[in-house]
Amino acid sequence: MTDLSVKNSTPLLQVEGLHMSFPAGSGIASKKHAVVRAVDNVSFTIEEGKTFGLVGESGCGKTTVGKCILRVYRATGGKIFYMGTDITGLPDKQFNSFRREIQLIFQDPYGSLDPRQSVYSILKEAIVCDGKRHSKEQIRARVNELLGLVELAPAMSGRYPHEMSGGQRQRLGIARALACEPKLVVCDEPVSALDVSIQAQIINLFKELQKKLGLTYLFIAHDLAVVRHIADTIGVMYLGHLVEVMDAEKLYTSPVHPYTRALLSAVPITDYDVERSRRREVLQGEVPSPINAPSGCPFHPRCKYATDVCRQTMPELRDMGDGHFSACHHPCTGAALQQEQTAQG
Amino acid sequence: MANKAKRRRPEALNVFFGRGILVKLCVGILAAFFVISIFGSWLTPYEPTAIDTSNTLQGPSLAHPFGTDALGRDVMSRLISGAQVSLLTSVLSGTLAAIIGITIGLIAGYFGGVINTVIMRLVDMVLSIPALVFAMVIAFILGGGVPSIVVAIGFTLIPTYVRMVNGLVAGLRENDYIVAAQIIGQKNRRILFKHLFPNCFPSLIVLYTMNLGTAIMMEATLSYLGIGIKAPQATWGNMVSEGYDYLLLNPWLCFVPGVMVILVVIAFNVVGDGLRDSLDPRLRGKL
Repeated sequence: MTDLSVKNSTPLLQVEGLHMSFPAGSGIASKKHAVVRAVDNVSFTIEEGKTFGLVGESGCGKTTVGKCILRVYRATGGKIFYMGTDITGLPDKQFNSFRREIQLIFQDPYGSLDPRQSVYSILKEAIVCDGKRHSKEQIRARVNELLGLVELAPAMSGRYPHEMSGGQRQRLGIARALACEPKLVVCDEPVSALDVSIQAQIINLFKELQKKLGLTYLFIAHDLAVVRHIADTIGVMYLGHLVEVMDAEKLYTSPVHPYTRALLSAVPITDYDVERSRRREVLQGEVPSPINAPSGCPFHPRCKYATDVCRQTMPELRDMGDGHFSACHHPCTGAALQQEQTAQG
Repeated sequence: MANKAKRRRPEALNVFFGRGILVKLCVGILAAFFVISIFGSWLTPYEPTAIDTSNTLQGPSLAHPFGTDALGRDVMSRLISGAQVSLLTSVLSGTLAAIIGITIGLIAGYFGGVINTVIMRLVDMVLSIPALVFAMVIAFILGGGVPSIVVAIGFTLIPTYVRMVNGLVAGLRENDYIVAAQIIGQKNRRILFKHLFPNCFPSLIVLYTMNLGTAIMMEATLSYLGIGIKAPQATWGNMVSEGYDYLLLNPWLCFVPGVMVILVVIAFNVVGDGLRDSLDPRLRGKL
């Protein structure tokens, strides 16, 4: 995979200080002040041909980030550079040239396909939307090619979505995205609605397609095991903030943010002895409401390391070296950890 | 594509007729209604407006199967001639309302915001006026005759389509496949008519057939009230209206055209329900 990525000076996607807030409540009185800050000051970069995994629990704003990049939502602040062009403020006409290059794979393989369209018609629509002329034979050939790419039989083209399994539908969703010849594919929890056995197939399909077509992924998920499998770099989100960014390999070996550590601790380990002997970090309390988010570090009400500085100042993403960034005043680095472990005895 | 069409049609028909005897019966009624209204002028045993003062208010007989009215006109011939007017007004006004109402509803529902608010408040205003009064006013302004009745009934029915489509679209546009269509670069106009309209179709076909029934009733009501189609042209409505004076003397005069209206309205409704199920790909192969 690394061979394919061309080291350009400009990364394929660069998100800088992205903000997205939604008005909460539609009352006349409450309209002004109640605002849900779904995404708050999120920045990251994806190099061409790489996969950036975005993880976090439900409601932390990871899907919103994806939809801002796709311009389904118009970002309320910050910049999104696609191939060096800021697409946040771009008029629709100029954005149209990028429109088809950024595609989305949906979480729900049922709701993302029009129940009244056959497989052929769904793919044909995606093919002809580029505004060029296509002959019937060209379309037919391209449909078969796309079905081949996602490993569906050409005989499926007459089927309707309700006649297909969840895995087949998700493959069709991928084929539709590929019909637009995208460079960047935002995968919004593409496997979380599928059976575990199918999940592995679809993940492998994603990897193969990346190899074949040189795709770049923004992979949104809440399943750490899935993300580690596919992502090169992982960003952890909490309450609209990006709290830690690191290489996928480092996620399991040396996370420093208390939230990331708690997330990891929630992943079950299949080895019985290891599972018995390890110490679980169970978070107390609930995720605060994004309408009145806590002051300072968003994680401080649930963090056992929290001090006064956490309650007052929002920690910046700081470089921990080696492409590892963490937004924490008290990162759990090697020394601090060892101390804690010895204290545990 | 050809192969797909071949496979689809019989399946849809199977579902349609698989619903039982009632659907078959109602298709029969509608077929007869259509044939009679189209070829009516050749089927009438007598001239529908021919007056025969020596044979007034007769009961059913071999010569006059449904009897004669107060002016000695053959009721059966008038029924056949009236069917033509009923079909013409109901289909034309129903279609007129559907085209305008569905388009407005799609636009209001899909774009939302101010457009939606303005359109829906206008619709509320129209709906707050009783349908019959509204139709009467328009019919009065335009004067009688088939075209003005069609416009009057058509305009009265528009809000029903706008309402329904607007509600359906508000729900449908939240679906991921609409977002998907936007992301692949599909034009709004195509999203409206390729995705939203077909998915509204099951409810719309029911509303359309119901409205055909309503239109026949309305035409009958307007003609009964004397604003609709002018005498001597027979319509089912003005036949009931004229027969009403002789209800005790000869109940046939009211009864026969009234039953015709009811039969056709029920048939439209049943066939509409059947169409909804048979045109839904999700229901195919079941039942």
